[in-house]
Amino acid sequence: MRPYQERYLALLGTMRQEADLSVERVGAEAFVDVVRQASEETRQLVEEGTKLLREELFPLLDDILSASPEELQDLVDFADKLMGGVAQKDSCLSYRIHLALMTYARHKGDRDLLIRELYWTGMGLFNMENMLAPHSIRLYTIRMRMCFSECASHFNTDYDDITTPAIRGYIHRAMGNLALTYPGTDQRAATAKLAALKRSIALLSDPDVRAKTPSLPWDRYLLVSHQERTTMLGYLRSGHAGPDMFAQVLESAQIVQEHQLRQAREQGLPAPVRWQYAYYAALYHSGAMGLSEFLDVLYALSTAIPDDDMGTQSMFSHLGVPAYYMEYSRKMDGRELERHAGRISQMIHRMCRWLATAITGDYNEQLMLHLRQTLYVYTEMPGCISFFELLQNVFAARHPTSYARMWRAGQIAGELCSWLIDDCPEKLVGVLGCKDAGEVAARREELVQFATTAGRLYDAGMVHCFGMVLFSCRGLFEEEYGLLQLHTDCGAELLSRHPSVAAYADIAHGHHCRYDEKGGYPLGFSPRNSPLQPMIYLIAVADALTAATDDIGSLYNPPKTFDLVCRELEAESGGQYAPYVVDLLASPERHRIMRENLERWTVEAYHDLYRRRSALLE
Amino acid sequence: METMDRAMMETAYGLLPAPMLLAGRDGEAGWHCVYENPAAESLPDRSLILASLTEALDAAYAGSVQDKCAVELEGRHLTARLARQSGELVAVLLRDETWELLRYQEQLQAASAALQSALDAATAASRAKSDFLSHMSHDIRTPLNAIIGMTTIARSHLDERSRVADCLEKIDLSSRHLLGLINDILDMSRIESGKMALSPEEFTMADFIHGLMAVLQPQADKKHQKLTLDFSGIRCENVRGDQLRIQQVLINILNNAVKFTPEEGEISLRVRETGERFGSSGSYAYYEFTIRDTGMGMSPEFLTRIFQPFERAGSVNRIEGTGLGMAITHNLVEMMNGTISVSSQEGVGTQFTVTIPLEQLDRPEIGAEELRGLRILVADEPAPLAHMEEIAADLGLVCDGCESNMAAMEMAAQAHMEGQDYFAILLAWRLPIVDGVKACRELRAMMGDSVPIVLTSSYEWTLSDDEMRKYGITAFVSKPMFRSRLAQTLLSFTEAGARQAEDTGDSAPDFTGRRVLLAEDNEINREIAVELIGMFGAEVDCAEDGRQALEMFSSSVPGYYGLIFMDLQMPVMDGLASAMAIRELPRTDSATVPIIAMTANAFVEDIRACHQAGMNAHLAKPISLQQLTDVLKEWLR
Repeated sequence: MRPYQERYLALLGTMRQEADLSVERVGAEAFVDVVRQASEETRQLVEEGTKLLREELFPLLDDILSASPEELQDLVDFADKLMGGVAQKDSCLSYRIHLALMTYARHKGDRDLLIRELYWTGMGLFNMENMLAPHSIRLYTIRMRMCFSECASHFNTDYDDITTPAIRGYIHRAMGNLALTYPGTDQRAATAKLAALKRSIALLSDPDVRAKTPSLPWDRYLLVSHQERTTMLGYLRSGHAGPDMFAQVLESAQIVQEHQLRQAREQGLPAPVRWQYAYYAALYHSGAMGLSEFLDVLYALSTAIPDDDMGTQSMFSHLGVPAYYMEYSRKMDGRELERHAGRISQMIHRMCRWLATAITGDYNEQLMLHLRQTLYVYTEMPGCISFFELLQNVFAARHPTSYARMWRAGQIAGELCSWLIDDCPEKLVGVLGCKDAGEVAARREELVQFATTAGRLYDAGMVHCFGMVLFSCRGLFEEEYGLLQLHTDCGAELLSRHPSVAAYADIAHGHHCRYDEKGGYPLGFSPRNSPLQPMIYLIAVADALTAATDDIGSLYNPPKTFDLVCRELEAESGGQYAPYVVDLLASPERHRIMRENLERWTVEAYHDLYRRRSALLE
Repeated sequence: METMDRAMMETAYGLLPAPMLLAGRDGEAGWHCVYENPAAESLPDRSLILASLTEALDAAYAGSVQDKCAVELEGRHLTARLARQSGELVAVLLRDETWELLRYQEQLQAASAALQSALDAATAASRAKSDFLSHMSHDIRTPLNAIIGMTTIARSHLDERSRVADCLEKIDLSSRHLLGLINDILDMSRIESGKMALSPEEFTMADFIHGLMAVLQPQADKKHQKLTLDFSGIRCENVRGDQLRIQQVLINILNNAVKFTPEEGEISLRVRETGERFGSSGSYAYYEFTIRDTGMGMSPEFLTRIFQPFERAGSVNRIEGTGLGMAITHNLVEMMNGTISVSSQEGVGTQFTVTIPLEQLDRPEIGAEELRGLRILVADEPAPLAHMEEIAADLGLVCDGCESNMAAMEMAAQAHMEGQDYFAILLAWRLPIVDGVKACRELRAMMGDSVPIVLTSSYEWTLSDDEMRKYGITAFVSKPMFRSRLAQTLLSFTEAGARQAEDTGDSAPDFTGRRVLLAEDNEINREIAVELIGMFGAEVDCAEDGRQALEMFSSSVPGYYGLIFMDLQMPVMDGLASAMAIRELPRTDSATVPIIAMTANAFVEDIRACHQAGMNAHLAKPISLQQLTDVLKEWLR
């Protein structure tokens, strides 16, 4: 690889270390300094990483058709290192490079390279789309399917002409991965996915096909296809699954189970938690085990691994299993469900502790996926912590600077709300059902509290963007910016699933909408259609203030002064921001108060963060 | 004596449900009946009644209301209430207790009879359900027992492969049978509890009937049964309805037809529209599906009960089934506001007629004008050939038909020799002596590629696109042939069809006559870009740096360039600077000419910089054909 490529990979490694804020036991004050220093170093890493790519990589990609074979090989190696397996280092950059190589291969008529790059481009798209799971948005599915389809189609055309075993391997891997391009849970998607897997497994099992390339790891490919088919277990109880689907899915579950057990025995280890889950899930979904019994098994699995084990099985046990437990227990009615409250509460407590303890630098998308699943399916019950508290714990554990930012936003929004009630209470008529200005004034405390809580929740959708924001040492790419913008839709969906915070969903949805409705995002949502319209505009201003003036935890851009941000707000008054909110800061007195508050709140936010993280570790 | 006006009496007393008399004094002679209301019609002799109430009448006349005065007359027991009215009249309100008793008895008897009837019906239904449950529990237990039993056998004979295979075969059959039973019960339960809802959707009759045939044909083939279709009565193929439920109804009937028709029997399905369009918007029509078979038929007695749940023909040797299939079918048809009727004769056959209203979706007539007068050649068996000729005539085509591919080859050769090639040739794949594929190859060898050749087949198509190309087959259409399918296929061979494909973006755009300015310093990139853009017919002028691009643009007449592709990283003057300078030029198109950045740089802030410099969009390098197509379509003036 080239020096800049080595350097970029080193920067990524350093980034993960910087993200490790595990030295919080030093005390709240020292913690603030740790965060400040880490943020400063992060900004430097981002600047350097961006510069490297802008000056070294992109000029090469600009003229890739003129690249030498050595340069091309270095690019291939670099992209492969960036994809990085489970601990994806920089998926989006890897995707970009593979896309360029794919286009290069097409121009040059290099079939083998094209096949390879079709596969990896498809994988890059899959990794990016997976960041949105379990949200229902699908951005890249069709493009993924096109990449894998085209790669797999070479089996029918020139497979026998290909002499490199690894290239043939990509064809088979692409064939199996077509199943990934049917992510929906409806009958059509399930049928298509099953058909794709059936085709793939049939070919991988065919002795004549195997004989053509004996050096390929056929058993591993087959196992992966069976593993993918086992993920369809949840569909068996949908009422649409026929006998053929049952047979195929249960067969795969059986095969995977046998393999994992055999492997564990050979290594002298107990059966992996993940595949014990698969075994019992197969029994439940095939009707051989009742729901209550199955939940008992899940609870046992959730406590199977000690809390201080930070490995992959522990991750599944502490994060994945609680998510499955809550998802399955939703099938129970109210009284039955309450019996499980105690267990759920215990599992959540252990999960939060594990999260806080896990080395934050050891990021991987699988962990984030389990976490998001847990957040989506969490059921609030008497005796369990509220979803609000759970979300705060997750942010405090995994995205500390976002936690602090939202904490401050809450304080800012509360103050702005109080001033709005003083100046023009009629603006808040309609919020929380207030019928007139008199009622607004009478319910001041309630409205201020609502605004404060809104500030703590408005960026809930950022759970989908942790990896992208925290562990990348460069500026955002277009694709990532597109994904980032989806945090509004994701946040709205996440909050609306939980009764205690559903009232704040519109705020999560619309805080990036423009006041003048000429742009902003997301499309399809207008604050003017929401009874919370003035609150949304309040939070928009609070967001601008908190994000830009954080001089402790700002990761990408240097902080701006409060005065500068106020001037920007004024310039966009009536455009991006509501004038009646911007005007709240117009008076010199209020200007001074907010500046002083911001300085105080910045430190208090990180003190609060420290306290919360410490509590998680107890 | 004050007399009351009769009309007043009618008004006052006419609607009373109880009998009422108005009595007037006859001086010293007693009382007489002045008025009686309609309810008094059933009373015995009124004068006798009044005579037996003389004392009470006198007392009432004197001002004292008399109540519960008994009158026994002609075996009837009456009670009277008397009160003086205005003037000299006394009102006598009577209760005919005997009559009332009789009436109550009658009502009681009627209610009792109705209850008994309901009880009988409920008992019958309950008995039927009990019978059903007892049969059903037997029917469910049996295959379950078989599954468990076979599993036990298989487990204890693991080394005997053939035994295990046999057990597994039986397990498979039993479990599928069991699933069918349970599905039927669930369906019936859903229908009866009102939980089954229809899901109307758009579909075409062509696809629908093809779907039916795909299910039925293999079953009919196994019993060597002849399956015929007639859908010539369909005028509008595009409809809206619950396709799944209609299919369920027809598959149920057709499956029974196959099941109860012996080997080499005949089954036919006719589909036609009946009557005029109806509905408030006049967009509905009745579609009639007639299924006829030469099967064992049903007795008249069973026909009266065929749609009752839990009924099975006693004469049939316990052919598997719940006895719910026809009940479900009947209920589904009723849910769709349709009708179903059956006629049958034992030993002769059965006919089911299902009529369902469907919303017709008007679609523009496919290519009738464009196809009018075109000459086609069709080779097929007599029945499908006749059908094809009918459709062709309807489309205004001139159709020459023949019953073998050999004959088609001769006719095509003759036409070719005369310089009057057919517009298209349709060959049936599975005809004897010379099949369609072979005939196509021969024709291609003789006439080249000029004439489209369409292969028709009612069997599942297995040739790949490559093979079709290899044999020279232009298109494939599966049978049964629908008017729309034939029209669509033939239209695609016309110029109008090709233009339509272009309008919908199916073909590459043509930018002949347009001119593009390309600013790119790398020679290889330039060559590739020129080649790709050239594929769309546009002319490309090249600049090697930003300054050259600026000079070329500024020295051109306004509107000369329809678009500028601008690489960002260039020597002398980079793309951003060049774009900003172009936008500053004092000419009419400087602000409007689209400038497209070409860069591999994906940073959001850098792309924003392109927009701020006045660029309209960007193309990621290395550029791909698809991206280029999209950009040219959107931006090239």
